[in-house]
Amino acid sequence: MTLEELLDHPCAWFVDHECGEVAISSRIRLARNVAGYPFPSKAEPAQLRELRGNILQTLSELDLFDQGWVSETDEVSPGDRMLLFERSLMSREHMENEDSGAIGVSRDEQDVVMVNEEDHLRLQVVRPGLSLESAWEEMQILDSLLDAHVEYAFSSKYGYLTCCPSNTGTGLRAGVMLHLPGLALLDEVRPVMRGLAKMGLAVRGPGGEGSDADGFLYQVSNQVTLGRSEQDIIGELHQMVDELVTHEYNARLRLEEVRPNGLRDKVGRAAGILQNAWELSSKEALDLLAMVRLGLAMDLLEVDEAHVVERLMIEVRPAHLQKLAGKELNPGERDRFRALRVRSKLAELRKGPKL
Amino acid sequence: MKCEHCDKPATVHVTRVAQGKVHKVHLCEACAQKMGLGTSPSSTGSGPTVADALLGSGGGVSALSSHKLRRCPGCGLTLRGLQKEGRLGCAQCYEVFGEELDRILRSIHDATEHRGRTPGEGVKRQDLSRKMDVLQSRLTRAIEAEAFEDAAKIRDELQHLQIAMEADREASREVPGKKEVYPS
Ligand SMILES: [Zn+2]
Ligand SMILES: [Zn+2]
Repeated sequence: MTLEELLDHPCAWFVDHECGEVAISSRIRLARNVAGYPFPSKAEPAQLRELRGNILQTLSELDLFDQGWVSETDEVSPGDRMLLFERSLMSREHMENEDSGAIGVSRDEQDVVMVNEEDHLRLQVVRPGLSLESAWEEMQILDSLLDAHVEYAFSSKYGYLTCCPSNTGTGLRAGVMLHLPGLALLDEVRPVMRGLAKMGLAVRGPGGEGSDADGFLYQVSNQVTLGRSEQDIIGELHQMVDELVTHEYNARLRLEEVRPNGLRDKVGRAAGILQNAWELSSKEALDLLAMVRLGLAMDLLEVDEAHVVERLMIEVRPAHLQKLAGKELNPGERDRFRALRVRSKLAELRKGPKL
Repeated sequence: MKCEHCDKPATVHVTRVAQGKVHKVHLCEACAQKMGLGTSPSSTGSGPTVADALLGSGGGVSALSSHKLRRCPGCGLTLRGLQKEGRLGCAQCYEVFGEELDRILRSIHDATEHRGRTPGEGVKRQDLSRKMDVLQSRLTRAIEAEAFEDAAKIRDELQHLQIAMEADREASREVPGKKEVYPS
């Protein structure tokens, strides 16, 4: 499978959830290091390249990745790396390791192995919707497949040994991407997030640490990785996310109750701008698409094509846009091309039964 | 007393343990700084840092006062380096800096000991056998389609899985009554 073919698919984990669901996707990530090599920050480039060679050999023997796409980072153009980043297949840190980085992606983009990121291995499983448990099941298989080929750095006291002490132990980061426009419109995201932080959960924009919550998309994940089993960590996260989802639905009901006109105004304007704009920035597009997604979920709007909004939420990002255009675009050209794409895709968008 | 590296007065005195021998090192502030042994606070960011956890609530007190200028033989990371970066360099660091690390880990996780999956034993055997089933049927399909190269790969993978499953069984036989982390 070539990178072109891989990227031709709609981003499976992003569009396969039920339409309008609050929980868009669930992600499990494991940090692993290989025994006998210093961690990437302290290893010699030659050691890391040797390790990369071994891992790539292993991946090529696994059907899962052999059917998918495997590459050394420096063989991927910077534009395509950005594309992988926009699809959450590559981290920012990993994009920059041209010297010894590599990546393996399964055909459905749900299994990913990053080589020589902060740790030797970052395993990632992403599933659509709130499906932490099934993602964990899949992850155990992926972890064991690699475990059968390489010896992990592990201590009986500390567990899996990682570069950053914040990952030590299980090496597990479980996260759910949530769409919270209702809470955002009621200005309630911040207090809710503060509450979650007190419970030991981290909340960030989808691009990882420090990124904005464009499109009202938030990533909620565990912070504690040591002293608790993977199942406990995942179970607790699931419970908190369940509560958060209920919160979001309540917020939508309250909006309908206390600000019915305000809600319709926001949703209607968003649809109007997206259907008629000739220039759209990435942030504006994402924020307005989020309102349209809310409108669709609340029957204020209607559209025939399933997941057209979710698809656009990926497509309007700069690297994806340029892939669609088939050429590099300067920011002004991007804004115009983005508006064109959105206009044509949302031409069928119309008033729903409740508007 | 003069600095060992230049002739300025030595103001920093470090006790260094290397290969089982104790050395005293005398340096001026500038040279000490160059060697990563300076006394100025390392972090300007807000909020508690790993370094703060390492140094206790004192914050500004450097490793000098701890009389432990340890260096990891595996990767060369010094205690000072750990304080500065908040990252470990290799698996051995976990032994070398165990004491400081426990403090860091407690501040992040409120725990110092792993509870969870361990290499080789974690996966439910039924997961492996389900994976075997999937591979078996892929193998059959590949052979039917006369895609022999694919078939060979799948066969290899099946072999690896078999080895993994056997190792798994071996491991649980060796330690009678071992706690199953993921009971099936
Ligand atoms: Zn000096
Ligand atoms: Zn080390």
